[in-house]
Order: sequence, then structure tokens, then C-alpha cells
Amino acid sequence: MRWSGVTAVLAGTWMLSLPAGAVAQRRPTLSLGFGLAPTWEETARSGTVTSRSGLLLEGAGEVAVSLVELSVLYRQGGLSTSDGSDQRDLIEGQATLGLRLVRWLRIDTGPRVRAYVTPAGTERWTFWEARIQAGARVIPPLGWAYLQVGRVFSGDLPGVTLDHGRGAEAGLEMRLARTPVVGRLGYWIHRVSVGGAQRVETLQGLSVALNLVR
Amino acid sequence: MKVVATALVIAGISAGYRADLRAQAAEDLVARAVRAYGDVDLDATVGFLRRWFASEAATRAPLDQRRRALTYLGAAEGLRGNADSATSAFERLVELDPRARLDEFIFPPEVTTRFEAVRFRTKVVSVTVAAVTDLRPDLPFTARLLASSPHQIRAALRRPAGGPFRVIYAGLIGDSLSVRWDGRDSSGALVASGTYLLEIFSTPAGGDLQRVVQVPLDITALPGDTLPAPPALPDSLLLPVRRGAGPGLEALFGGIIAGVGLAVLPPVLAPDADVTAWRWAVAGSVSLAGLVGFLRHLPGGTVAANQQANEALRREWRERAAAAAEQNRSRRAEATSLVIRAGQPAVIRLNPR
Repeated sequence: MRWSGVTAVLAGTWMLSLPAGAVAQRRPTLSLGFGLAPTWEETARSGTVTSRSGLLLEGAGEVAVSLVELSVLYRQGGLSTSDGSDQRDLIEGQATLGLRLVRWLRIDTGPRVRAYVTPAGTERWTFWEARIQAGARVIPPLGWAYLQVGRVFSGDLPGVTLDHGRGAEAGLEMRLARTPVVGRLGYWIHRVSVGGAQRVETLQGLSVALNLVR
Repeated sequence: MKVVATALVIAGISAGYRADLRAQAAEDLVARAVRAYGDVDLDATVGFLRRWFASEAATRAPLDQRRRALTYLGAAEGLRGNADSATSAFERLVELDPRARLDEFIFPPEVTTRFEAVRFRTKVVSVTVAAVTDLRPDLPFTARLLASSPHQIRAALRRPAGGPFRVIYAGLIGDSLSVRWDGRDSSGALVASGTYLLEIFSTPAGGDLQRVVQVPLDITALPGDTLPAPPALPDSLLLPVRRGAGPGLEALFGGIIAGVGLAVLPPVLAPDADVTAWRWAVAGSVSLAGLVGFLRHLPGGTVAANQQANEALRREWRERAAAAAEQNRSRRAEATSLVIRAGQPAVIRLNPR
């Protein structure tokens, strides 16, 4: 049911977008960047909420050829409660295959792999997600605002069942004039409910990054 | 009355018939002379041919027939012992066609030897030119020269009443030669419209000028083609000077929607979570950027870069139009091409024997 719903949304978006003209024959671009991601995590487990925060390091890359965009994202860092009593490392990787239907609209899909590392062991979650992103030139031609919403449509979580998951991201990208450097300031949030709402993981953060675009 | 009319008709028909007969008889004279030569009746041969040359038919006869008549006349006169008459006939034959040769199977050695001697000392060229030449830089006026035997020639152009103004060739001709003229005088200017003469002077080595072949040229000078003015600048090449509403509104609404999304979506997605207030910083930045973008691209504002680009385009067009006009002024002032109509070449003997 989830699969068919997502597929219908994507297909409908694709068909609605086609008359506006596809973004054909764009010059291939390559983007590489790194940044910092102040992150807040909230774990609700059987009514008990634990909040952690920390600073993650972030690396990203993207290749765009014609309509197709392939991107990867990696974040890693330690998160701890405010008193330092509970601490765990978070490692998250994400790969997406996107299709830019028109200049302002992109759909993408791909896996997100998350690992919680504690002295007791490592917990690995894999989600398959679909996203849709809209953008606008806010300071033509250098500034670009974007808003993205996504949904987890499948997951591989050892020992627990996935209830649902969704996320959103929005931000601003600004290219420094006459340079290949693009700065990005974004906010993102990702929430996953597992085991019949026995456990809810909410992860949110800022993303301050610099990318080199060729 | 009827009798008179009938008599007049009969007289007219018979007069026309007699004229046809005379013409036919004149044309038959050459054939009869050739038959008489075959019968070794040399007097009859000469007689028929002299009658033919005296007739009107000889003046309008084709080259082949005149060449044939002169060949048999020279041969018959030589065999009759009239050396001067034979030489004269052969000289006329060589002037008529410098490439003429006698068939050694028809004529005896004393005839062919005499002819070769005459041909060798008769220095003359035949000139072949196109009836009409549209002279262009890549298509000069060309005269094809065929020589009777190797000798010195000089090809020059002059007005009928003036001296030569351009020598286009001076030197030896062996068998054949093509000489070209670009339609210009010795100063390099195209000649004006009028009648001109192309003259080829033939001189034996170490001897005096012997013959001149003159070709009358009727030249018409044409003014040069003018360049078309560049087509008017189409509006499609000009960039819009007034800014449209699109970019400004995209910036404003793009910023607002992203900002509102940042404000609204996190609480919707995670209603019971403690959503960080830092997202307001991002939402404010995005909205502010959208507002700045809108103000920078206010609809209806002037796009200075487009204005400058359009002005550069118009300036370039004006320069091209002025250059074309200037070139047309100079092209109209002087001729750039000639049409040359060539007449029949004529041979003039300068030291007749």
C-alpha cells in the first residue's frame, strides 16, 4: 500500500510536470562539500523521553547529468544528554537517485543507513525513502531556497518493526559570486516510529556547509 | 492584262531560278576544280578556282571550303610553273589557317615542299576569342593564339585612334599560346566603355614586322554591384529592458514558502517533540533572502545590463550600415566589371611581297 501510494504520487508529479518542460541537456556538474551539523536527538521510549545533542561532521557529494542527479551524504558525531550521563555516537549515510523534472522540482529516492553506537553495541537501521524537493531562485542567479519533504516507505530494523517515518528539510544555498563555492544553511528533521510507537526517534539539526561546484 | 501578269510571274520565277543556279554553280566550282586537278587539267583547275574567288560565294564560304580552294590553287599554280602565284596562294592559306597542312597522299613532294617553305617563312597567328566575355577578377579576357611557325609576337591593346596602352605579351610563340587581359590599362585602372583593338604583331627572328592580326573589341564598363544594407535589427535579438514580474515574484514567494515550511513542518512532523528554535534562524534567513531578491528584481525595473547589450547591438548595426553605404559610394564611382564583345580577326600584311 505504501509502495503504490508513493509510486502514484511520483508518477502524478512527473506527468504534471512534463508540460512545463523538462530540464534537458544540462551541463554535467560535480559538487563536493563538507560542513558542520549541530544536531538534537529525542528518543521517546515507553513514555520516557531522552534528549541528546551534539555536533556532527558532514560530507556531501553530488553528480548531475542531464535530468539525473546522484547524491550522497554522510554525517558522524557524538550525541549526549545535557548532563553527559547518556552518550552515543550517531553515524548516518544517505544515497539518493534523483530526477529533476523541471528547474524547480526534483524527486528522489534512496536508502538512509543509520547506526547508533554505544558501549553496549551498535544498532543499525536501514530506511528506504522517497522525497520531493521544490526550489526557487531567491537572489537570482546566486541564491536558491529549497524545501523538501520525504517519507520512509520501507525499513530494515533488526528486532523491531517500522511503523512510519518522515522527514523534511529546508534551507538556503548561496553561491559566492564568480567562484565555484556554494554555502548552504539548512534545517532538517527526521522522525521514525517503531514497534507500535514503543520507540520514537526524532532527529533534527542545522546544516552549515561549503560545497565546491564544477 | 492577264497575259502581262502571267508573263511577269514567269519572268520573276525564272529570274529567281537563274540566281539560284548561279549560286549553285559558284559553289560547284571548287568541286569541279578538284575533279579537274584529279584529271591533271591544271588550267581548268586554276580557271574554276579564280572564278570562284571572284564570286560572292567565296566571301561567305566556310573556312574549310576556302582552305580547300587555296590549297588546290597553290598546288595547280605551282605545277603549272607559276611559282609566285603558288606562293601567294599558300601565303593566303597560312594567313587563313596557320595550322593548315597539305596531304602528302594527294599532293606531290614539290607542292608540299613549297608549301612548307612558305609556311615556315610566313609568320602569322590565328586568334580565337570568346564572342562575349563577362570579365571578372577570376575570369579574364583570354585570346588563344595558334602560330604558323615559331616566331616573336607582341600582343597589345589600343584605341583605334591611339597608341597601345597595354602590352599583355611580348616574346616567342612556339605552337600555341594563351594570352590574358584583366581589362586594365598600364596604370591598373579598368578601361572605359568604347571600341578597342587587340593586336598581335608577328615578327620573324631578326626580321622586320611582318603581319598584324587585329581583333576589334567592343567594351562596356559596368558599375559594381552595390552591397545590400544590413537587414533591420529584429526585436527578437534585443533583450528585454524592463524586468518582468517572474524573477522577483519567484524570489519573494520562494523565500516565503520555504520560511513558512520551516516554521510549520517540524511541529507537524513531530508534534510531541521539542523542536529546536534554531530553525527560526534558517527560516528568517531564507525569507529575508527572498525579500532581498524581490527588491533587487522589482517588476518593471530597468535591466541595465540588457540596456547596455542592446545599445552595443544597435551601435554595431549602425556601423555595419555605414560601412555598406561607404563601400557602395566607392563602388558606384568606378566600374568593377567589363563586358567584352569580340569581332572577327583580320590579318594585315605590313610588308607585302
